[in-house]
Amino acid sequence: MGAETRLKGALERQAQWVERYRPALRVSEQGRVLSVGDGIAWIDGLPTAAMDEVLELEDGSRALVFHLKSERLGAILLYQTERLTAGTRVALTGRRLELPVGDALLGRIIDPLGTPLDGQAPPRCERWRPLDAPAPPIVDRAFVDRPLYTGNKIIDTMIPIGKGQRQLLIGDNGLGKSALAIDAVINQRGKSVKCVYVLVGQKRSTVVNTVEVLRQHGTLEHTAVVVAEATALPGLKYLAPFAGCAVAESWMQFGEDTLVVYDDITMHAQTYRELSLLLQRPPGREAYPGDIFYLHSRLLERATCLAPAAGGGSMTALPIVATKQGEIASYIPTNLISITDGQVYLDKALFDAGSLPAIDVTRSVSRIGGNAQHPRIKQEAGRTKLDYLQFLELEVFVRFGTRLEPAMEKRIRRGRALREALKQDRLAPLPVELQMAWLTAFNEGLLEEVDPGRVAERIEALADGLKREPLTLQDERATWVAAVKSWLQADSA
Amino acid sequence: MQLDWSTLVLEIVNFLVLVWLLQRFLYKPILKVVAARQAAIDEAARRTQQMESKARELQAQYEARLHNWEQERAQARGALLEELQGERSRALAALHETLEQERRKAGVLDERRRSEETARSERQAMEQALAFARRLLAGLSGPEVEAKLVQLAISELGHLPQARRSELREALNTSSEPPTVCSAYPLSLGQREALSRALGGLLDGARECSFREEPALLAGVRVNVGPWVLQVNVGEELSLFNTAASDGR
Repeated sequence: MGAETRLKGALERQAQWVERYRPALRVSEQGRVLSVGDGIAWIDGLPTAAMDEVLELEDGSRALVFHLKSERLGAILLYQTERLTAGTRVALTGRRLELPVGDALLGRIIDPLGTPLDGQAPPRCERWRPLDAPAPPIVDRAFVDRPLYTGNKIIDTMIPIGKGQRQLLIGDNGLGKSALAIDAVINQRGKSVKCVYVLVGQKRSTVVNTVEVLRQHGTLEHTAVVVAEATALPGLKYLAPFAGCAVAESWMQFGEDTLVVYDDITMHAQTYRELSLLLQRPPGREAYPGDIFYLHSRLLERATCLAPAAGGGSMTALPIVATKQGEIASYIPTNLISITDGQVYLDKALFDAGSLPAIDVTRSVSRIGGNAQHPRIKQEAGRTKLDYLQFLELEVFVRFGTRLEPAMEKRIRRGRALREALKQDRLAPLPVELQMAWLTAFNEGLLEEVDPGRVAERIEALADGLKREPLTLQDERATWVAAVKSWLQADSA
Repeated sequence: MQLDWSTLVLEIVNFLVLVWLLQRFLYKPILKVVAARQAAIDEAARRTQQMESKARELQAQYEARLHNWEQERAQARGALLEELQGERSRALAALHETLEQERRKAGVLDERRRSEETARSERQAMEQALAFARRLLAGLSGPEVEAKLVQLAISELGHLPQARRSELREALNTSSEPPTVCSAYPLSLGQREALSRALGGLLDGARECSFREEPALLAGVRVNVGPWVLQVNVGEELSLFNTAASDGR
């Protein structure tokens, strides 16, 4: 339908409504709050209320229909005033929940309803989007074939992420999942990727720290932050990921690349469980409601890469899931693992050993893999993961003190150099050119010559050399090899 | 001159000795040298001939090789040109495909932006219309308008379908509260009685109603009967317009 027809469509519909209009007695429903507490309200009446319909309460509160029973309905509160009490009248709005979206949200911190939390004026948005929307159909999707660089050495070389991929960050609390996600967001600066960081059920101090880190690294300019902190209404915590997704989706629909971080999905699942139990939905495994899988699958299926005929944008999702004592076979983690296109697993043993980031390469995978990697990086990193895994197996023998043949010794020396090379500080994402530099140096055997403790210095030298003589991924390998050798020689001298 | 036979013999011997000496020490070495030279020259000539024939051979070989190389070069050049042509065609095809995709994408995005802009303009137009109507009616509404709306309400109450009447009756029977009548302006006694009668007729029996004012209605009434709301007022009509406009989004 062309714009001309659509213009006629909306205005003409209104004109036809005006044509048919006559003043008359209007009969509508009104409900009454039976009880309110713990972020939910039981409401009597409103027999024609629809699921996910917004309700307006007499005192100014707002609620969302969440559970329909024959004699009453359960609603989650979105906004609650002090005057809300049993007996308050409730009216239907006939509308679904929407929030304002657009570029005005960049640099802003909002709640899932679009209310600003950063003390500034409400963002002036010209578009509104429903929080819950169907995922793009199959015909509108394209293959994931463009890389999204997180700036992390292990991820960008061995577990590459593509634009439009869903990659799970999983591990126990305190191992650096959020740090990885923040690094990924910081690395998108200057790359035309708009980011949305969703904080669900986090402490206020965590929210403040996250926002401050993003601001210090100049990342807030291309990031919108959606917050439903620990003290927020459960309804807002439930809606936060959907709000973040809607914000990113609005950019994706206009051909832009976006990155959404859900920090974290475990909190979201627990909030959904809480609301479902309060509203007397039948509990299932681990007391989660039966549709907990559908809750997350419908959220994450909206992250995709669109075909050119559908606008060509992309939404990359990084959901974060917390495990307990490294148990990834529990309910919510296994759900998320089956929904997503791969996982980055953080291991406590690696964290305790000081190997940071504590990414366990043996249990991490990217199902998109090399398809989304730049051909040059793919060529250089081709055998790295296999070599590293073989080294980890061989290292076991070293611990027993067995004597190994020279070829094995060489492999172990090489593996140790690689392990040192893969270590990385927080908040220090690497540009892809530096990834290329250290991979070239490693493949040429230039990092094995030194003591493992000095590998980090060598990589620093590569970074300095790259600043002096910038190279691109399009340059020939011979050029890279010569440059890398000269930079390392200059450093040795 | 006197010939002396001894001198003659001695001269002849001298001559012979000279000849012998010349032959021994001059003639033979010279001949030897000449012969050696001749041999050397012959040898050189022979070597030269050999080299010449070898050179001719090599030249022939070289020319043959050169000919082969020229052929191979021509073939390789042909193959390279073919490959370049193929690569060029492939690259052009890929470029055309990319351009086509970008064109399609740009078309879709352009269409979306235009739709958004159009929808925004429509929304703004309707919001302005609503705002204007609200201001106008807020200024013009008064007890006279309300009286007309009360008359309309009473008239419409009498024509409600039976199913709706049953629902209202049931709601009122189960509700502990009497019907509440809200109006923008205070209703006169006559208006109150008329409304009470109309509600009584609707609900098959007189019902005590409570009355209160609600200026937000602008003009007209709203009656709360349990879970049901019956309205004839300007505020509600303006909300209906707004709802119809929002549904057009």
